[in-house]
Amino acid sequence: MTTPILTAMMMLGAMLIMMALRLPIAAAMAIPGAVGFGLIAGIDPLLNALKGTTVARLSVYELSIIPLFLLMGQLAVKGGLSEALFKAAAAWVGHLRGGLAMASILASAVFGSICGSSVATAATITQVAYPAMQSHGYPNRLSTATLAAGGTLGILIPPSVPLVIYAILAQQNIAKLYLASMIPAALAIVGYLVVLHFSRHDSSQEEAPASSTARRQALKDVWPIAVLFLAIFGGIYAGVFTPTEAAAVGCLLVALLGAVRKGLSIDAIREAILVTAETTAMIFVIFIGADLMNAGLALTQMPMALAGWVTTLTIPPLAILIAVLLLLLILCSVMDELSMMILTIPILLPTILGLDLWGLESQDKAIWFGILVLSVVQFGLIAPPVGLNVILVNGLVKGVPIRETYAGVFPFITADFLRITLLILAPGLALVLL
Amino acid sequence: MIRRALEKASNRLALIGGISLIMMALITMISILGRALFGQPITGDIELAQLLTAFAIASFLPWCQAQKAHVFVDFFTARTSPVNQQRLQRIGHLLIAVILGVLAWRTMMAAASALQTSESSMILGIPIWVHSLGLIPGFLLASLMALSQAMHRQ
Repeated sequence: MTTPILTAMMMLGAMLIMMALRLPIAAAMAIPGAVGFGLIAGIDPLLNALKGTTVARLSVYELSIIPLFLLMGQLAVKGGLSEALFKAAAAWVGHLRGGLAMASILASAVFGSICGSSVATAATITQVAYPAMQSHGYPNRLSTATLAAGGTLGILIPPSVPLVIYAILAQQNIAKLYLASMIPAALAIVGYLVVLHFSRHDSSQEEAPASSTARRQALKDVWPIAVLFLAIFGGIYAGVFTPTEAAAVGCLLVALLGAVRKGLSIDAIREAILVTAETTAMIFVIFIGADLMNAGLALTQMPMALAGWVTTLTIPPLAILIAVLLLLLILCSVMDELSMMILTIPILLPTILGLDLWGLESQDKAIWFGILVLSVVQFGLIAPPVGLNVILVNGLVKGVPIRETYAGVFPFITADFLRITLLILAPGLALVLL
Repeated sequence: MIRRALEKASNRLALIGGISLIMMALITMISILGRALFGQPITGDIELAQLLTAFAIASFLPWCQAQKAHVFVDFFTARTSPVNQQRLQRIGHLLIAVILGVLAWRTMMAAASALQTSESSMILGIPIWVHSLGLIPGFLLASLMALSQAMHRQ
């Protein structure tokens, strides 16, 4: 083994040890990264690099999408949009078998179309949908599992914050990635509805269908959200504005919508800003840490060496892809999803791009892989042992053992698993719209 | 006492950052409207947006630190005693304090050298050091916040 590769191994080893010791992930990447960089290039180049990284990382124009979409999601939460959405969905499908659970999925999906965070989506829909399901005698595990799974639509449906992060890491066009995520997202919604259709229900939950006037009334409350989604993403694809501009416009329009509907107060806006600040800073600190780690690793040329080595293997490329996705899934169960992406994508992407997968062009491969990564992240949010959404919904509703929610989530995980398998076998599902 | 003051300052700086972000959104919106209606965007809108967003993100750092919102892996240490967990977390705060402190120092140096070369942005001619300078309060305050958390035993 050559010295640079050995250095790379030691950097990664130190990082893993620091991570296991409960130290912040950002620090676990930054410190071994900086030390490795200093060992290879010397102290002055390191100090010079540190001079530039911060300003450079914080000044990428496209990166402003992240705080803007986060703020937009928070403003949607504070603007009380979830309540209107759930009511409208319940008016249309509430009378079906498992109708209120289906309404939760649909409300999550529509909320997800203006919110890029699964945690925010799960939390806000839970607050309105759980009491309704409770009062209609829905089993606890079905309710909590539905809400946890529905919440993951927040990141699967554009605007998705993890997909923005992937776009930046992989240097891919975010508009194309959003387009590529549309069919898989639609499949996810259909999959969840099918699961609910076949889950066990008793007749006590049934409700009379809402009158058609009630239905129309309910839609009146939510059409602006659909218009907003169409304006934002239609605008991007019609070339009226860039994704960053769309995020800015969306943010202001959601604020306006909240203000008109519910009189979004100054206090509510202040809270939305503080939550946005917390999450944004958390993401960017990890970015800065990863920048240092990647700068160090790049000097060792480890990512390229890894990619070169993998192509010499006689293992089928598809098996390597599946192994990579499994690795990501395992990492998801010990660390949070965004850090997992920021840590692994720069190292693993060259390897994936070097594989011959279905004869795809490099760029198509990068986009397809992005949707696969997004799907794995989404899967990781509800899969045991550490499904962030399951933990979140369980914490919100109180009194449902987490074991029960994991049991309830199993059919949804199965649906996700089938969808991801389908997407691996048929990249066209992601690429056909491009 | 000091902790309280730092928290309050972090909160205020985060709100100022939020206002900066909203201003960025407003400028962008006005620029789009100008472009669509009069074929005339705001000159240097992207430069302004970058400046305001970078300032906003840096200003968010102290609040994130105050809320101890940095992600860590608790899988392997979940069974150790709370005392030990807290020790490890305080070491973590210390490391963050060092990293953000070093970055604040390096960014200051970057601002200083930009001041000497009098570099400025392409369209609006905003001096580059203004850009770097805007990041420093956030990094410095976040570093101090982390330091106070590292020293403070709960």
